[in-house]
This record gives sequence, structure tokens and C-alpha cells, in this order.
Amino acid sequence: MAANKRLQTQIPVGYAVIVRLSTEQPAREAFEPLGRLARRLLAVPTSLVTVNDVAGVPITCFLDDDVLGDPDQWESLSVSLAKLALTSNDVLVIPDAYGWTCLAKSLIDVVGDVVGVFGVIDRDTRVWTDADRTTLSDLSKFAIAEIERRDAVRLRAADDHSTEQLFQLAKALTAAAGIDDVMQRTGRIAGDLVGASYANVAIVDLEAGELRLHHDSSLPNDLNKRWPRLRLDTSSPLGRAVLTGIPIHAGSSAEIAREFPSGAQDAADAGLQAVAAYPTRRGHAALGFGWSHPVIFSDPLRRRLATVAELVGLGLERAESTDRDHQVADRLQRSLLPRELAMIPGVQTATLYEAGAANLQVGGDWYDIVAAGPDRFVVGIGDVVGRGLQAAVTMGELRHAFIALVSRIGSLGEIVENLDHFAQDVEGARLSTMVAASYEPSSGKLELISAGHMPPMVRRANGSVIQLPDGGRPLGLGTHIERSTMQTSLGVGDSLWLYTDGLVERRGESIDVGLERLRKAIDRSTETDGTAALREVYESLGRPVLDDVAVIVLTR
Amino acid sequence: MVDDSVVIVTDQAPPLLKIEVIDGGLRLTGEIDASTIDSLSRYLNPLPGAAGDIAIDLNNVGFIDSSGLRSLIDAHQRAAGLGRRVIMTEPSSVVRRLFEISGLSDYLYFA
Repeated sequence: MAANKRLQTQIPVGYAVIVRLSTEQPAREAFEPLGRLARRLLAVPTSLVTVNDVAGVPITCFLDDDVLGDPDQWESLSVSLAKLALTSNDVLVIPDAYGWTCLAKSLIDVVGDVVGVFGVIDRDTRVWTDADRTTLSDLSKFAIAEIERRDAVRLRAADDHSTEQLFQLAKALTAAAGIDDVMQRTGRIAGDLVGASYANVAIVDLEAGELRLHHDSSLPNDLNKRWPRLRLDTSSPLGRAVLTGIPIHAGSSAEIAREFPSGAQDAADAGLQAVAAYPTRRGHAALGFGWSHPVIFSDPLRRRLATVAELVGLGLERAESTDRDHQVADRLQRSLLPRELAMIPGVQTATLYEAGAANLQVGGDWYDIVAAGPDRFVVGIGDVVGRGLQAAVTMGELRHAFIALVSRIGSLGEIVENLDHFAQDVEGARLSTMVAASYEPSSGKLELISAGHMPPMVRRANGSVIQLPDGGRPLGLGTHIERSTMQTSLGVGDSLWLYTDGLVERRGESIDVGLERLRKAIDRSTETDGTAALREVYESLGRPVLDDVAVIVLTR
Repeated sequence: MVDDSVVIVTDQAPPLLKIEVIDGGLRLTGEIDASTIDSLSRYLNPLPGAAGDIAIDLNNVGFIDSSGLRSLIDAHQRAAGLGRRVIMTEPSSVVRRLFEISGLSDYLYFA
């Protein structure tokens, strides 16, 4: 009964005209004998059978009429009958504004859905008897049998199609990378599933007291811009759905105007004559649908809307966590990189960190400079395997281990050996690569150890560029690894270039080609200022497509 | 002797990594990176075959990124735990250099 009450509140005052041509012509001939029988048995001039299509729009399947000539009038009549019939299982008497009276019986299928209506129409002087009602009720049973027989065939095909679409929707949702991506990938499919011409998603922004809207691509651009946000109140279907937690429907322009006066013009501008809004399960978002024609929200349509909303809601949750993960990882990574590096006397330090391409999660590149004594500084640069939150966290742990080790332990070899132990114990740190460099400001003496990292380069003041040896196992591959220490020194005007593989690695080419490109770029650079030289070299190499890039340049 | 052949087709064409199960191991063609690593991992975990060395033919592999290296090392270590060896056969010069620069040429087995 509660359902019926809810439905009744949606019947607009006056008749809504629904003109929608089904792509599939209903089997008129199936209902013709029933309609003729009804006219004879009940002695009426007009009989009709309507059947709701999948979207709940009634289609007049059969109208046997001696007196109603005007197609608009019978369209309006059949729709009104269908709407009223939705509200009751009983045989209804419906007076009509044009001087007619209708006797109507809703057609309810085995699962209890109203699938259509069987009605007879006579002059308003007609008095309907109990016998008339029984006759119509009996005849309607034949109509239902016919509809169910047809549906068994027709709906099986439709269901196959819907199942395929639902599958497509689920697939698209799984692949979506963020909320906007969810809308781009799913808006159209979601709309098609419920026959809607337009779909959108509203995400609750509690702090701003607003709904952030994500429209599907079918909305014209100017409207798209007009509706970036909505106030979080009950003046819109989306706001009302979120705040009440129940689905909101408005099946006609008149109903939209009555229920949502402030949004009626927008709906009209968008060409929408029916709207629905479904809250997601977690209640932090709502899915909106718009139709370019009036709609009767039948039970099957409501179920389908709820299913689509549920699916998209799950997709949104997933997308939000992806977005959140990315933001957190990015923030975390930047916060884990040192804000201020230790100042090395007599050395200018230039650094660069560039995140990889948009939509990819951040990687695990890191660098730092730690004072190990009055005349000794240790520089570290490294790359943690993998991307995303886990890589950012691992990178932070590794960098902090590096800081702690440098301040406590003497030799470079011991520092790296301890990082080896650390990397074995910390899941995700294994196979990290790094270069550790120890520098003595007074003499310019430089010692380096590489753990599977890109070879450092030294540019001499005279312009020549030396590529230091590479190799050395990555961190975390067993203990007691013999690591060789490279020794050189920085003269005045020399610079040391440490970097991660994103600077040189390009898909489809040998790593040596990339290294040579970098070596030449450093060689060509005329800048003596470290920061300017780094910028010049970085720009001359071109932006890497995928990977993160970290560079640190020490210029004496 | 090829007893099975599987082509991993991703969204992009051509296939980024072709994995063929050959006698005593795998033959790989393409690129081993984050986008293909899951496919490769399915063939390396559990390790192919019941006993003996596992050959991974890298002759037609043009690129291995750090996650690809990690997957090969995982296989290497799991094999070592079972008294077996994973042997990288015929790596292209590009790939050999990648192993070198990554400090893995004296860690993994090559043939």
C-alpha cells in the first residue's frame, strides 16, 4: 500500500501526453479479438489495451474505436489510464474531462508488476455495474496471458541485451581511473540501460554544502558549464535523493515544475521531460537520469534504475579510493622528499623532481643530503620498485633509514651494507637501486657506491663529461655483497650529476643510447650555474613519457 | 619443441608481450614491464616444470623495466629455494646491458 501511496503523489494534475513510438510494434493482432469481445460484451463504443515498454512508457497496443477520432485524445486517454491503473489492482472508474467515462483494469503479471492496462470507454452517462467490472476483470486475465506469452519471447531477447549492457557497464566501471573517468566511461551505457537520454553523478561536498556534478558527454557544453555544482538542498532531484536517501522521480514536465520549480527551466533547456535521482548505497553521491520524453516509473524500471545506481555507486567508491590514493601518494612523496637539503660548504646544490605522466600513480624516487660530520656529507639518490602509495611509503622508510645510518655509521660501505639488510626486511624495498656519495668539502674528495643504479656523471670545469661505472647489485639481494667504491674528486667548477632512470630511459631503445644522450646534453650545456644547467639539460632531453624523474646536481 | 602457445593481447596492438611455453621453460617476445608483468607472473608462479633448470628465452625481448627485473629475480629466488635454476638464455644486447647496469649480471644465471 505504501508503494501505491507514493505513486499516487506523482500523478500530475491533468493529462500528460506521452508520444513515444516503440521501435518494436506491439502485436496488435493479438489484442484485437479481446478488444472486440470487450466492446460486444460491455456494449461500449471504445476499448483499448496498453502495454508498458521496458522504460515504463505505455504503448497503445490496441484501440478499437467508433467515436474517439482524435489521436491526441486517445493517446492522452491511454496514458492517463495507464498511470491511474498503476495505483490500484481494482477495476477503476475514471471520469474523463472530455465527457467520457472509463472502466479500467490494470494488467499485473506473475511477479506483481503492472505491465499495462485494459480499458473500455463510454459516454459519461454510462453507469458501470458490478457485472461490467467482473467482465472486464475476466477479460483482462486473457490480456495478461497474452502479454506474458509475448514477453516470454520478447523480454528474453531484451534481457540478453540488458545483461550484455550491464556487463559492459561493470567492465567500464572496473577500468575507470577516477570519478570523471567513471562518468565518461559509464554515463552513456547507464543511460541506455534505462532508456535515459542523459545521466550524471553528483558527489556530496559536505564542507561546501554542495554537490559536485559530473555530467555524461551528452549534455550540451553550455549547460555543462552552467551546472558545475548544486546547492546541497532539496530543491533539486539529486539533492533531495542524497538528503532523503530515497529515489526521486518526476515523470513529466508538469511534475518537474511542481516538485522542483527552481530547476524546471534548466530541465527544459536540456530538453528533459522526466528526471530521476537515485542515492548511492553509501549516501555520499547520487546518480541522476534525464529523459527527453515523459516517463512512467514502473516497478521494472525502478528496479533497473536501482541496479544501475548500485553498480555505478560501487564504481565511484572504487574510483574515489583511486583518486584518494593518488593524491595521498603524491602528497606523501613530496612530503617525504626533503624540504631543505643540508648545505654543503662551497657547493651549489640543484635538484629536480618531476612526477610521471598524469593518471599514473607516483613512483618511489628519492634523494637527500645528510651531514655526516663537519667535513663530510653523504648524498643519496634512489629508486624504489613499483608505484603508488606502497612505493611512496617504502621510499620514505628507505630515505629515513639512510638518514639514520649516515648520522650513526662511518664508512660509505657500511651505510650501503646496512641499507641492504634493511631492504631485505622491508617488503617493497627489495631491488631498490641507489647511489650513495660521500663528499669532503675541504678537499673535494668524492667516494661513490652504486647499487644497481644509473651511472653518475661528472662534468669537469673544462667541459668534458665522464660517465662513472655502473653496476653493483640492487639493495636487498643477499648480505655480504662485495661492493666496489668509486673514487674521484670535484675540482672547482666541476659538477656531479646523480639521477634516476626516468631521465634517460626510453622505451624501445638501448639504455646506452639514453645515457649517451644525457652525457651529450650535459656536455653541450654552457651554463655554469647548477640550477640553470640542470634546467637546460632537462629540457633538452624532452619530457619522459611515463616514469618519475629525480636529479640532484652538486657544483663546486 | 613448442607444446603450447599463448598470446597475451592487451588493449594496445600489437601484443606487448608474447609468452610461449617451450620445453623446459618460456620464450618471451616483446616488453616486460608493469603492463605485462601480471601475465608473465602467471607463467612463473608456480615455476614451469617439476624439476631441473628453467630456461627463459629473452632473445626477442626489447625492454625490461624494474618491475620486470623484480619478477625474474623472484623466480630466480623461488627456484633457488627448490634447488632449481632459472637461466636467462640468449638475452639481446639491449637486455644484457639492462641486467649489467642493474647490477644483476653476476646474480642471475645466463646462457
